[in-house]
Amino acid sequence: MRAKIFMLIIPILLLSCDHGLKPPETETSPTYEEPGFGGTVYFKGTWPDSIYDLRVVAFRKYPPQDIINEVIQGRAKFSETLPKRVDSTKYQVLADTGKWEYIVVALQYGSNIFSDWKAIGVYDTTPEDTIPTSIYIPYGKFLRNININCDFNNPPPQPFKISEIIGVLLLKQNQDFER
Amino acid sequence: MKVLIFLFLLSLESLAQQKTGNLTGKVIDVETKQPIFGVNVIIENTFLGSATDAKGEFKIKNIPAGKYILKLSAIGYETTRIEIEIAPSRETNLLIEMKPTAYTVEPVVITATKREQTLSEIPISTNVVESDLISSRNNLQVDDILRYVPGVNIIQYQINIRGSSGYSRGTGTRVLILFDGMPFLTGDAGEIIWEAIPVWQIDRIEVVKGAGSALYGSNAIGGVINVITKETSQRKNFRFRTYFGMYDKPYYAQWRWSERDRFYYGGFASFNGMIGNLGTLIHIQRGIDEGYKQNQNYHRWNIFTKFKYNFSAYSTINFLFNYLRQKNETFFYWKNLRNALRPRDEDIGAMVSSERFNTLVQFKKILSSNLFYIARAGFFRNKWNDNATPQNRSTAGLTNYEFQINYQPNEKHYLIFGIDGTFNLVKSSLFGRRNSHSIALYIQDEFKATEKFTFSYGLRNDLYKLDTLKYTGQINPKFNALYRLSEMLSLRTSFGTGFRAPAISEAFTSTTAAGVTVKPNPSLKPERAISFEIGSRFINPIISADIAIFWNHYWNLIEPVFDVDGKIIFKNVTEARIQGAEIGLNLFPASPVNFSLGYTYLNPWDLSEDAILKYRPRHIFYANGNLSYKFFFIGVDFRFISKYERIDELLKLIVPDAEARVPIYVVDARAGLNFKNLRLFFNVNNLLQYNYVEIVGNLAPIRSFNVSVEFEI
Repeated sequence: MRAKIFMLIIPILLLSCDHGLKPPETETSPTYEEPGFGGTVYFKGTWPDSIYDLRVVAFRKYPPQDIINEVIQGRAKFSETLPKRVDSTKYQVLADTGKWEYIVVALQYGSNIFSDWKAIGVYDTTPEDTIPTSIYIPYGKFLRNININCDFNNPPPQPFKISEIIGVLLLKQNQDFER
Repeated sequence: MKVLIFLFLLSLESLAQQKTGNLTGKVIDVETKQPIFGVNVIIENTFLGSATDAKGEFKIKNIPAGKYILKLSAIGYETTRIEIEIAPSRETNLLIEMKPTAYTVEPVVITATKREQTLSEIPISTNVVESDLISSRNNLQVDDILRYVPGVNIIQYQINIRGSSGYSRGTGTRVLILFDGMPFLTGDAGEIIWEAIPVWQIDRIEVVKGAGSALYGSNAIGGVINVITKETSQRKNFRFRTYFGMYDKPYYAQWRWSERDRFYYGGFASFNGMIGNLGTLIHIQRGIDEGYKQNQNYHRWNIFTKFKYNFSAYSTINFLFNYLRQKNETFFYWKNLRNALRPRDEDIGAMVSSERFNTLVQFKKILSSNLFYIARAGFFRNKWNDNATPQNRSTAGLTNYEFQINYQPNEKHYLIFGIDGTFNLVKSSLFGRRNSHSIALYIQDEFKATEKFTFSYGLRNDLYKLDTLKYTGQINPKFNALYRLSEMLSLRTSFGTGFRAPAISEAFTSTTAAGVTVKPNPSLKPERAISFEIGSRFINPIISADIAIFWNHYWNLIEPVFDVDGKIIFKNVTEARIQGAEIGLNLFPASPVNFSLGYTYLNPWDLSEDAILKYRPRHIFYANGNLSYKFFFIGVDFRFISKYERIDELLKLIVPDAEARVPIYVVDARAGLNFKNLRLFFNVNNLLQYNYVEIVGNLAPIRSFNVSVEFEI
């Protein structure tokens, strides 16, 4: 009987020294990358005469809710200005870990940064529905091959006032830069 | 059709006309000479029986004249058998004395063969968890109870019997769960809603291992679990229970996410007794858990009612209604191992509201000493919605029905045959508007070749249709044999097949979430399995032992995979074989002390990929010890589950630190006081503060303490 109790107690005592999983010493792993995504934008159709700016923009939610606040709080992310009148171009967006539900190629077609924007391409791997495809950026990962098709002759649905939003976004960036 | 059924029942009635007599009696304690309440009195090899009332008296009417063995059993007393003779048109009166015993009475099991048998008569590996253990552990959900059954392991909410299921976020379980005998899987995802089952009204849980589709149809591919609730009582009884618990601080300071302690609390009130001639059980329960992880709280209400009305001694109707309303936050995966108790940023605020209810009506009529039937119908409605963008929502209504006949033509044969079916309607933002239906016929004969040798064999034919898919048929046979070497020792073997029809969620999901797109696959085929086992059971008052060697082969297992276009699709991809051995041991060395141990070895092999199956451990070990002295008791549970050697490649992409997992070692302890009407419990769960995951990216519950008080009038 004593031997049985002893056999039961020993593993429990041994276990009491071990607490299983523990947090890593450092937050970054050897394969850590700056989180974000990138890929290629393909263009087709007739380029408009007037192009002031062209960028890839990512939003957390679709359809956007309280989008102005999202932009002001810096939760929407965008690429550098893309080259114009090319068949395709590489791009990258540095964005935080997590889900991004709406990734759009936005064109500024007029001089008014607050009003002259429209979406000309959306990341959507399921064209049979009208819901854009969201992406999930894992911790410390940069997603590649997030490719977007743009057709100037057949632009995607414009689900919200994209012009005002992107205008606010760029204005905010400029203010941050000036500071 | 109705006319045919009426004529059939009429013919059954006519079979029942024979010359009969009555039996009355009183059962008393041999030492105190006081009447014993609640003794089961059964005439062996017939369906006739009764139970004693508060005066210890019983009456059995319309017994065909002849000689019989009368069997009396009650908790705390030795089972007694006496010979009786019933004369036609006369009443036989008996005074029977029963001897108290300190030993545990062998549990009764109904799930393995669809009829009541003691554990030693069951020809297949079966475990029973009884209500006392559930109460003293203060388990708040049924899945917590099943975590200590040999051969069973839970991966978050998904149950595995001998490695059957793996993990697929609850969709399409490979274990069938029954709630008082009726299937209890949702109509949309085919998942188990554990929190809908009122744990404190459970009488016992029966776990039958191996493919059981020959009796139960789809989903019984790895086993069947039947949750049986308490019977309505003759004596009025009020019960109240309240519990209050607190989670300890996380072991590592980096994991602390809340500035204050996190609590969980709740309780129930119930009434069980006769209202006029109606047996009534009403139970209302409230539970709140603030969560040990961020974004994981819940608020829930449960209502459970059961009514029983006896038209006569041989004709009974039962009605059951069970309701759950719940709001719970959703913790999908951790942010990373450094933030193991925080969800991903974008999941903060994710929440699900749900409302579920199920009803069951069951009518049982004993037509003669060797013939009875049961007719039942049930409905399970499952409605939920989340707060995602766009919102996901689903409503499913699943209707079940069954008509079963039990016929014992002579002492050697016991026949059970029946028909059952389902009708399911689903309206969901994820799966669309879908429906499915099924119908099945089954037959089983138990043949007692000699006093020692019993065979059981059966066949079931299922025909089902899933929305736009074609009708599919499945024939499932079974064969069991039991040989009793002595009163205490038996050998058994069993063979059975199983299948699982694809869930609506597997065939028709169309969604994009967490960066991945899932597309439908309407050409899914059912999964199939064959189970074989040999085993031996030894039962005596001091020790009971069960040993089994098993072999299970699975075909067409449905798993989510990447298709050529990069989208996820559910496909029949895996052929697998799980072999292993299991030993269970219960020791009762002296009346206040008992121990139980269970060890299962698994060799779960994916034949398609020539690798170990995902989410299956190789070793499962449980130990349990209890000691009681007068009104004081203590108990401890220990479980060990070896590390899952392989997980989904897909989850590695989505979940940071998905490879962070360890073997599981958990100790739960309890102590309490047990007075006549008052019970006090103190529990510590995860006593050693061991940090582990059951599913990647989800730290299992950390140490918690709780106190509960139960009062009974």
